[in-house]
Amino acid sequence: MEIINAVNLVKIYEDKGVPVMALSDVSLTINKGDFISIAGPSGSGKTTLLNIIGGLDAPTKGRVYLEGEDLTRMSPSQLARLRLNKYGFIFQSYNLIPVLTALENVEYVMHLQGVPSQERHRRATEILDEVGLRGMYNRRPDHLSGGEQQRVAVARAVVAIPMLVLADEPTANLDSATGERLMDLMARLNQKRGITFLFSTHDPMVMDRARRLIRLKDGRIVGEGNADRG
Amino acid sequence: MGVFLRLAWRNLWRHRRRTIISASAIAFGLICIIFFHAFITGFNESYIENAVRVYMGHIQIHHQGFQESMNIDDYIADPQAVLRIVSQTPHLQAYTTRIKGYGLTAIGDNSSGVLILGVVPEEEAQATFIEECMVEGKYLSADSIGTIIIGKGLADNLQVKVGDSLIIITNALDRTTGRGRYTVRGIFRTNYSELDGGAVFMNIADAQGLFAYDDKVSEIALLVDDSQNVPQAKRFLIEQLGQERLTQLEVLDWTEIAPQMQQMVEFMEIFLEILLVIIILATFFGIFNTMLMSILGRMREFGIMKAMGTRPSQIFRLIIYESSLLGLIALAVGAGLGYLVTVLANINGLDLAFFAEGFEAFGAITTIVYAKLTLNGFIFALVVVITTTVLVAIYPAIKAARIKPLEAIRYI
Ligand SMILES: Nc1ncnc2c1ncn2[C@@H]1O[C@H](COP(=O)(O)OP(=O)(O)O)[C@@H](O)[C@H]1O
Ligand SMILES: [Mg+2]
Repeated sequence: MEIINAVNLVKIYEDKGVPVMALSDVSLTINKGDFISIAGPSGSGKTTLLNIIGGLDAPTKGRVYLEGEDLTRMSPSQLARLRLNKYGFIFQSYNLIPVLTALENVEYVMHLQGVPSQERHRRATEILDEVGLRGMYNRRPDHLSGGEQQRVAVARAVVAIPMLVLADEPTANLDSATGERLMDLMARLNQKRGITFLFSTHDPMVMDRARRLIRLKDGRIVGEGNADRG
Repeated sequence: MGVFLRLAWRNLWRHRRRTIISASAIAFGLICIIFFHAFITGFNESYIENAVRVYMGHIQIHHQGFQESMNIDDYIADPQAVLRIVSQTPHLQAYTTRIKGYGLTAIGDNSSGVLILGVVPEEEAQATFIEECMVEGKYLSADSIGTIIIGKGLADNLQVKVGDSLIIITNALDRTTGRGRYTVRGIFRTNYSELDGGAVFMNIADAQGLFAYDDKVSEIALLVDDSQNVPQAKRFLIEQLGQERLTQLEVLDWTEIAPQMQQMVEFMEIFLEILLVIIILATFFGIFNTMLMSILGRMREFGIMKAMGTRPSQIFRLIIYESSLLGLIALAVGAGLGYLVTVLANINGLDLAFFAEGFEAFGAITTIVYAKLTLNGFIFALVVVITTTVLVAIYPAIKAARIKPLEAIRYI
């Protein structure tokens, strides 16, 4: 089932009066259950693409349809509601709210959604257990390692069962072993819970884990491989 | 507890030192407002109270026009009828009847114009502080006929001591010249130059003789329990005197008797307002920068929150909560300390002797001002300070609420 259909996306930034073509004519569909990697060197447009699909940025040209609805025509508050209810976000680093504990960070999204407190607590502890953070519920981000912080971010991104999780280079700031374990976790969540992931990376190890690999270069899709390995 | 309130509380303690400094600044502003409000209130009150209790009374009753003219023909013909009403006045504390007129006093080659006050010594002592103001000799008594007490300034001026005799001359009601010789029984000092420099108190019986007044009097001065009750007492008197057809009388309150005092009180109130504005502005700008820095330093965080779907209004609320909590902490500390400082200033009083020259005719019995903390003043200070603190946060809060998530995430 198709959940995202991005059509002919163009993004041109103005950098000190000089136009920079970050995306030129990128089209992409995402199906439910996908585990997709956007791969490409730095500056190839990965972040730009993820931001546009995630409703954080608007394309210069082109359309993004989410379950048939055009994101590019939505108001900021409609987009905010969409991000809250349909997406999970994982950024490179400093994902978490520093003054909240791991548990509270995971609960935060559900707070915004108005999930009742008991339900919130149950779901948050369950997902924290699943990402391997049992016993660390009450730690604040500064008492967690980088890998643990990213696990909390993953837990937070998936706890509300979003339609799509967008992860922009989630392993970029982790050592390779830790990064690999984070990929294991995301792959497991994808398989077990059917959560759709779209992540970007320039790390071959991470690319290898994807079931669909989209290669980006200079703002263009230069190849789509189907790793097809399950 | 709402998630934003919890966030706000914890954010406040992220930079403990910064928060403590800001809270101290706000608390200091609050202490200043509480204190100055109480001080000026106390100042005005003791200023009025002093003047009222030294001599003036809260309300005076005369024959119509006497206050202006001081004409001996403008007397109260039937003081007993008036006193029957006066004694019924609500909130009445004391009253005193007087004969009052100008005259001339002389000793040897020295002479001076004087204000002659014939009083019932007992009544006068109850209604005013004059007895407490004696610095030499003794106060008048019921049988102190032929004796007077005079102001310190006058005594110095005439080089008169207790036991000396003075001649006093005045126009009497019967168109003759009233004239008498009186022994100085005592010398008083009120710190009111008009009294100290030129007033003579004598027994009312002596004054009746001097002015040929028989049972007439010039003035009845009343004291009520609290200056706030003056209007009520005044209304009562006007109404009752009117009913008794004693309409040829004037009933004046202290603002009419001494309009310059009313002006002084108003001046002090304006002074207080200016002071408050300065304190509020100083507090505002004292914490504005800190508040703004604290918000700007967290833009990435706000960006992440917005990316996850937090609404601008929720970010705004979060920051307003933070400043409100900061204000409340400051309030708890500042209100407590402000209360303490003011209560101490109330118990011990502040000696304004240093400024006494500037506040001429202020001192009366004392130059000490007792700060007066009123509930209104206290609540006013709290409201002003919490409002200021919240206002400080408005601009940073709007900035944070409006941040675009992308810009903020790139912030670092
Ligand atoms: N806000 C911006 N202003 C100007 N140029 C930008 C901006 N964001 C990205 N770019 C440019 O767009 C191109 C793509 O950037 P980006 O999407 O961040 O690539 P990636 O995430 O693959 O490194 C780069 O050349 C980058 O310099
Ligand atoms: Mg990037």
